Amino acid sequence: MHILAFLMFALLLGAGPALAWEEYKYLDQGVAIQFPVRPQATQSTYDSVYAKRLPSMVYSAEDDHVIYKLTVVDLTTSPDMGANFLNEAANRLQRDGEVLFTDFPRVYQDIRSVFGVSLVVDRTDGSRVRSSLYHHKGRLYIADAIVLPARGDKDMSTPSRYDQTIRFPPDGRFD
Amino acid sequence: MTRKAFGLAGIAAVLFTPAAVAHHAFAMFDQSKTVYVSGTVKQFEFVNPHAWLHVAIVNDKGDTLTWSFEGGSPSQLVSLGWAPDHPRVGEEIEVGFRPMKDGSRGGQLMSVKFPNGQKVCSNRGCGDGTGNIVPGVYRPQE
Repeated sequence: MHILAFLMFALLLGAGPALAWEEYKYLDQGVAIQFPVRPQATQSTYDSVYAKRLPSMVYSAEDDHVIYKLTVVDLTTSPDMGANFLNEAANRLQRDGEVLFTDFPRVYQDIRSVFGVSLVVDRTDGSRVRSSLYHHKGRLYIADAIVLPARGDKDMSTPSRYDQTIRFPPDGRFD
Repeated sequence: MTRKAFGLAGIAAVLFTPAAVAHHAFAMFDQSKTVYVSGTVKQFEFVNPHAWLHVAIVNDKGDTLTWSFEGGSPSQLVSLGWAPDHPRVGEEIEVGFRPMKDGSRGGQLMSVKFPNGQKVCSNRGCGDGTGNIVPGVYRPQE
């Protein structure tokens, strides 16, 4: 009886979600990312100097005065322009305010690495945004964590937790 | 069910979950140094793909702020002496970590030192150059 109870409890724990943050998979968009609360999905469009009204999806949630937002832009009509789209988006971000930090993170390791760019910007509206941008397989991914002025405490590390949970399935992990 | 069975179940649950391999580089952390801070465990998220340790730390102005540290995967940590309740909420600990490059309050979790002096370390060593990894058997009193 004790063994059965042990196995049941173990399976329950093992199958359970994370305590707060959960990964949400958007296989049709080739991406998965964690949110602290369930995000809303919205169809949208994305404007660039290269093309207008590109189809995009926005997944967004707010928790404790921090907005977590993943934007996925379909670039299949401009397959050779990925680097320009990515750098244009980063350029826009840096013009929003004071750039506090820039980095070039990667998802995965070695030959599978997908490199991107991260910026932390103190915006003129009093918010702080941490954004990581990636171009991968015909899509532009922009993961924003925006600490709203109401949050006050901008040096919290939670925003950096968000963008680093991004991955691009199917990748053999949890798929 | 006994406490021992609960503990075994917790560890088994971690081991039954899909294997988690770090899927991002740790470039956001300053790998050139390890910093130590002391505080009270607020929450320990023993979750995939990486565990998170949240610690309440009093700064030099007397304000208590939460710091968050990212560890390895639960399966890695279990083999190094960590457990879902180890460290435990309310414990006073010293955390060794590689700080965030962007200056936010957190970093890569390298070690936790308990009140009795025992230390558990990350899957990347202790961060102090020793590489010592001490299996954690310490449990706080109820």
